[in-house]
Amino acid sequence: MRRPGESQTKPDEPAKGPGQELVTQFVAGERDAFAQVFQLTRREVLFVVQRFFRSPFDQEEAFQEAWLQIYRMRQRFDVNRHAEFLPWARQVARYRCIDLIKARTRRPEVPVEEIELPQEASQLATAARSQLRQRLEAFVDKLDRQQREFFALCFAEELPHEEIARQMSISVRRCKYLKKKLLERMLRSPELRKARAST
Amino acid sequence: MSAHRRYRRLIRDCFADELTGEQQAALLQHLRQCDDCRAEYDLAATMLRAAAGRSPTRQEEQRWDSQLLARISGQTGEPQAAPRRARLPWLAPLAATLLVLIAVGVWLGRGKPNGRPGVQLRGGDGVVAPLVDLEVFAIDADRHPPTPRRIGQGGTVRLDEYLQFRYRNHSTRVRHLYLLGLDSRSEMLDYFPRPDESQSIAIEEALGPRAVARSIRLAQRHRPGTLWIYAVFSEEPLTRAEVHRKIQHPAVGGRRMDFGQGIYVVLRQITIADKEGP
Repeated sequence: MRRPGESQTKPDEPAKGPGQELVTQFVAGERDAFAQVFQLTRREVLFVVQRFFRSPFDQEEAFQEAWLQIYRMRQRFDVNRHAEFLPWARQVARYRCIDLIKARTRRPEVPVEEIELPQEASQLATAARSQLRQRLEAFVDKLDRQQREFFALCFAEELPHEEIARQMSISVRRCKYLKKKLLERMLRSPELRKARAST
Repeated sequence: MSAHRRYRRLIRDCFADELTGEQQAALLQHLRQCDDCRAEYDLAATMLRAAAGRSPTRQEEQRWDSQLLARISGQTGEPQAAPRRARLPWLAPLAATLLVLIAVGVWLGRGKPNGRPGVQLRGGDGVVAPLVDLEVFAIDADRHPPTPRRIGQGGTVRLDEYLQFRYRNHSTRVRHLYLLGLDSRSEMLDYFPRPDESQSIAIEEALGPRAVARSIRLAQRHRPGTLWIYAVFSEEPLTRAEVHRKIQHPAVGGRRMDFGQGIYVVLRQITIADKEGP
């Protein structure tokens, strides 16, 4: 099983921003240009969102909102300063995240970026994630051979159903059934729930 | 069944990719209001992220992409203006005549200035296809779990491995893909469409990489040596005969490919090593 974050670009890697032509097309509202700018910039925006929100659902909502805001505000960006597009997009995303947090009076959440995470707390979070991984591995060990193989292909490798069906010589329908069943078992597993609660 | 139980079921269906657009919207709306169900959703997402070793998972990314595209499309949808009565009755025929003249001019002038083919090559002679792309992965079936390994341009795979293709399609118009290999003996090996199909396969618009449904077992039909992989993306479906007639690799026929407008070709070159290879 891969470790979390292994396949991700590290935040300190220099990110390549879109070129002037692409930024100009994006500002003009061309949909294809948006798709390309999104590809080049999505990870940067995701890092901003993940610093503000820990919950996957909140991350999903904030990521969408941040991108909608970038799209809405695109005409305010000076295309002659295309080299600064990435910092600009990050800043728009950051402000949108702050707005979302302010709007949530019902369930306030302190932005991670706004507080200095003590080293100890950060280490605890890492330890909790590591514990969740270990529990997941223990969970997989208890599965039968077919389920283990399915778990690896579906949840670890994230292959499409058709590919899993072909590799395991089962139907796509059976794949979907196994996926739901395994997810159900994971969600019901007290060990996994406990490990998740501490992350 | 209580509302919460129904939404818990929808959460499982959501992660199994079995929700319709309406169900998805209803679930999201409920999650915004219900802390318990949101906690269940977060639990499922966190476990899947831990299993995949990435945050967010590929499936989540795809879902986010399509949701975002839908929302952006909703924003760009201009309201239709009500038809207005023409104040200048002679203007429409004049505009139509001008348009016809421009169209004729464009048609007469096409292809003349530099004879450059309407094909955009990646990995070819420097002309870049920005809208579409193809990534090649090798899968070692003996390894448990089988882990796809990305093969870059000129990379090497073993004959006992599988090839997996992942495409990117940023275009709103490109909807078909034809994938084939050309080995060092100039033999064409159709990957998609399958032998029993006659046209290129349908693909979707995808901001992130999408895996093509089936992997290719190299032990069948392939032999050690260089393999060129052609991904022909098109707006309209292409037949096998059309693609085979037009693909002429520089190393084979010395001629350039000229597919025409609206068609993008991505070329990848890899090397197949014997089973005892790298």
